[in-house]
Amino acid sequence: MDVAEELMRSSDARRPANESWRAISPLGEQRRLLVLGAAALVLAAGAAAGDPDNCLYCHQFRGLGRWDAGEKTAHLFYVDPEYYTAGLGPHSRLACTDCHERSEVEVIPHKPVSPVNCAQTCHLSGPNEVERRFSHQNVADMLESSQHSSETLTDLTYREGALLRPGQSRCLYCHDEPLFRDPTGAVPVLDLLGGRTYDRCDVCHRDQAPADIGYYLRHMASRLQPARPPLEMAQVCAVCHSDPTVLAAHGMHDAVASFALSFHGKAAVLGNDNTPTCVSCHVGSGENAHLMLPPSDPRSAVSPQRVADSCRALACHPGADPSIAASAVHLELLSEPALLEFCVVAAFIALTIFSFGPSMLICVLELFGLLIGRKHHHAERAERLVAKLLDHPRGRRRLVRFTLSQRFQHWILVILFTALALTGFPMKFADRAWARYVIEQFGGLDVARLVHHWAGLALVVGFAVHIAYVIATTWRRCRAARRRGEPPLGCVGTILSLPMWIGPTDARKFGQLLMYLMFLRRQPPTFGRFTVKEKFEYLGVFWGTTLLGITGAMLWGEQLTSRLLGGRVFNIAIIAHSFEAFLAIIHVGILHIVNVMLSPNVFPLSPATLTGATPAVELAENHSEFVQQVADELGVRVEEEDDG
Amino acid sequence: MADERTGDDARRGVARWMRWCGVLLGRVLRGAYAAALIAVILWASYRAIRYLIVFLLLPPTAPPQITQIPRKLDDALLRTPADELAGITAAEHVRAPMEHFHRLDDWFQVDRFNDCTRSGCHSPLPHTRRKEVRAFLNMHATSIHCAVCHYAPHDRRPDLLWYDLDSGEPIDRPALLAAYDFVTSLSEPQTTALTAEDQDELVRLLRAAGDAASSEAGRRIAALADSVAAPRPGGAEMRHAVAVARAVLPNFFRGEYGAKIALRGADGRPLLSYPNTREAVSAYLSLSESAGNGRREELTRLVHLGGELPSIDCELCHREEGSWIDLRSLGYPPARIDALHNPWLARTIEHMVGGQTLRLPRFVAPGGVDDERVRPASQPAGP
Repeated sequence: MDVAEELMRSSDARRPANESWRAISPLGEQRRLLVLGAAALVLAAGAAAGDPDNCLYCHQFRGLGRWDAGEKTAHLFYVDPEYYTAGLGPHSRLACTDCHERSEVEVIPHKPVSPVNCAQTCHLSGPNEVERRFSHQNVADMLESSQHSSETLTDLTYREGALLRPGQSRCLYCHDEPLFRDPTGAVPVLDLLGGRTYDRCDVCHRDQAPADIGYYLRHMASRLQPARPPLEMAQVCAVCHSDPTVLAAHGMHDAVASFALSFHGKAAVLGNDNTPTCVSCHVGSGENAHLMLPPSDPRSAVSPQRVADSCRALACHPGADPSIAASAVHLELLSEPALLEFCVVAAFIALTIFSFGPSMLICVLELFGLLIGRKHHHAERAERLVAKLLDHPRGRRRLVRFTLSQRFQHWILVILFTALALTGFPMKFADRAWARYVIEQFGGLDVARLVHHWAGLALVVGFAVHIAYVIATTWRRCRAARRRGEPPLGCVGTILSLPMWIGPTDARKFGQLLMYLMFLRRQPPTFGRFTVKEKFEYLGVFWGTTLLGITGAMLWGEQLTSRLLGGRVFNIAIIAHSFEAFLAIIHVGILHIVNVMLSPNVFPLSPATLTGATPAVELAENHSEFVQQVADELGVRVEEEDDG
Repeated sequence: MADERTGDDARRGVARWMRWCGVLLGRVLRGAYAAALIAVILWASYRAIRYLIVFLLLPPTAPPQITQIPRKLDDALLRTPADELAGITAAEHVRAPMEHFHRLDDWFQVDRFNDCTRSGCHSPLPHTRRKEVRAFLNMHATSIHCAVCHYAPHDRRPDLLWYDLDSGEPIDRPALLAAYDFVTSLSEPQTTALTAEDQDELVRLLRAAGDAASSEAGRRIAALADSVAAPRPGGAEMRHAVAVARAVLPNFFRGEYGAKIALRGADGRPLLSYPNTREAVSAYLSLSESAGNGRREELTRLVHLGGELPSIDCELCHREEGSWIDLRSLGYPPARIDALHNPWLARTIEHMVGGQTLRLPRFVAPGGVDDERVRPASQPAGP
């Protein structure tokens, strides 16, 4: 008995005699509860034909079943009674004996039951208890002329052996008991209506409302969207198209694995309901999924003759260039046609290893130095100098390494980078459990993508502002130099003189630092306002923002991009975007966080980007040239005896 | 004077020593922290680089959310909890195994603490012999531990308790039963006079019952809890919400307790394995195919503490008077006890055990086809 049924009973019993029927309608009673917020129960009003054979008397029990030692398989006889009492799917209007042979199951214990023939005629119970004949024979006929004909599906062998028992309907490979999907996805107003869904229906259809109108509303609303969400569709196809034994026997590639690496596949894995499924591409608009054909057949929606139009369907990429079909949904890096993409991936991996590797090595060696308490002469002297400078009236202000504007820009970058990482990283690792969790915290992939796009746009704008800032400060510096009568540097010279520019001296000092950390040199190199590590990170942000901005814009405006650059560029853009983002995230997530937050010298957070004041130890150890420069300007020096 | 100086020296010495210890401790902690950071960086870097190399050089495989759905209804699947199958937890609708048309998403209920089935000796559907009742007996395995029927002597009432299927720990009684007890014990005036505290308690019980139940049933019970939580206590909506809970909760008695009944062991805890049989179990499982029947039977006797286990009649429990199991002490509400002790149920079972055929949809209603106790598929008794 479900909620609605019980409500109707209870309301019938308590119905006052003087109330109008509208006011005392069972549905009115039902509505009162449903308004309480149990939206899930809204559509659970009793609708089913029930169970005329009373099979659920026994079969409603979980665990009703037996183990067949001979077949090494379990026979489970449990049937969810809610399916029938609440009309959860189209088969809830069938009696069990519509599918199962009556003479075999009407006695208990049952006789050995024959496999169900899905194409046999059954009787759908309709409004007013009128039964209508129904059959799936037309679907069976369609399948015979498709790629999935009985010839293909007979004797399929899987990694675990046969999945069906002899004689069982091959429909079971793809279908189990059909359920109506939550209709609020397709008809959001149902969610908003809450318990008021039937308010107007029950004025005229008092008796039919729960049983018939509720059922048809659920049925139609459910059919306004695909019968299965994308992830479940992939699961259905994966039964065969990802099974190594089936793939080997039919000479196919793992189409589901490559699909899962595509944007559409990742969106499906992350639970997005709007992303294309296998059927979206492999079945043309207005065609039937049971008529699916191989790509080699010119009639197939993914045949070379038709695939471009399939991509350019109105619901997909209608304004794209036909070449968009060259962007691979099933990209297989190890196949010959994907040699270019393989090389691009390899190049990015090399970039990652050769840029992240040395930085990681330095970070680890520096921590090792801290672990063993290694000290050097420069640091001890610089510490004393820093102490004196901090006592100087102007010293503390002069030791600020980041201006207010720079600190503000940094925190804007922090916020945007975090937003981009949180919304983008789950896409890269969509198959990890945490990825879906993170995306769900944003309210789903659609919202996460929106955040990603706008955060990316803001980052690009911020980058442009930073460039303007650099130009402005450089211009001011040049003008000051001219006033002092210094010779002009020229364009190249100006760029080379930028404080964050990495020059040959930095390369030399980088080598010296590495040698010092590896105990091949007694003293470390000295650095000015910015260390070579910081310059390198700045360069990474510069390069990364540019690359990610360009490729991100290409992917965002995929239709325009396809017309300008062709479809295959998406493969390259996706690789570049995701691998550059990966490099940025491991660099920031592993190394930068350690350097500015977790390192024992700065834990829990270096105040350099908050107040601009770098910790004294950090200044002494890593910025002794800068300290010395400030000391020279202020006329502060360490006495010889101190130096002793 | 000298003593004073000696005392000062000692104090200074202690202070110096403590300072030195403090410095040393600080260095050790700093060093340990640095070492931990190094380990984390190396591990994370290794994982990152490994991911890149694998991505480039190995063919991709479909993620578990897509492939890890129940495909074949075998013993391994029966022993796999639903939450260990990524494909089940990720999907909106769980696919049934291929050969099984009807949905099973709520079926999976793996008992991690039942040594009879987890040892590898018995399937989670252990009853195989008598066709007439084997499926019904297996049904009881969702609520009753094997030892209750197969270990306890039948000549006296067993001392039973509930254990939690997640933790294996004893519990008072399932929240579902407690919630049902709550709503069925309320009379109409009491429902009207329900206080906010009563409402909170009922909501708490319903939420706990929802958490303990399987995913779909859990969602439905949670929705029920929401509907009870929303209205003002004492109002018409509250009365209706309680009425609905009273009517709907029995739908979840079908193995949705998140708990099972077990014998109380000598230590007061649930008896989930036969005492002192672990070695015999291992020996039995390691027997080769060619091992003789004698050895096999000997070990079977050892595992089952002395040989043939006592068989049990359904009517030992399902009868109005003198039921072997004291359902009341297990926290069953009277309404539920009545359902389980229904004589019609016992008669049906007796009929079947006697090898007589039942016919749908009337079974063997004692009062003929119009007997109102032949209820149409709603809620017959179950454990």
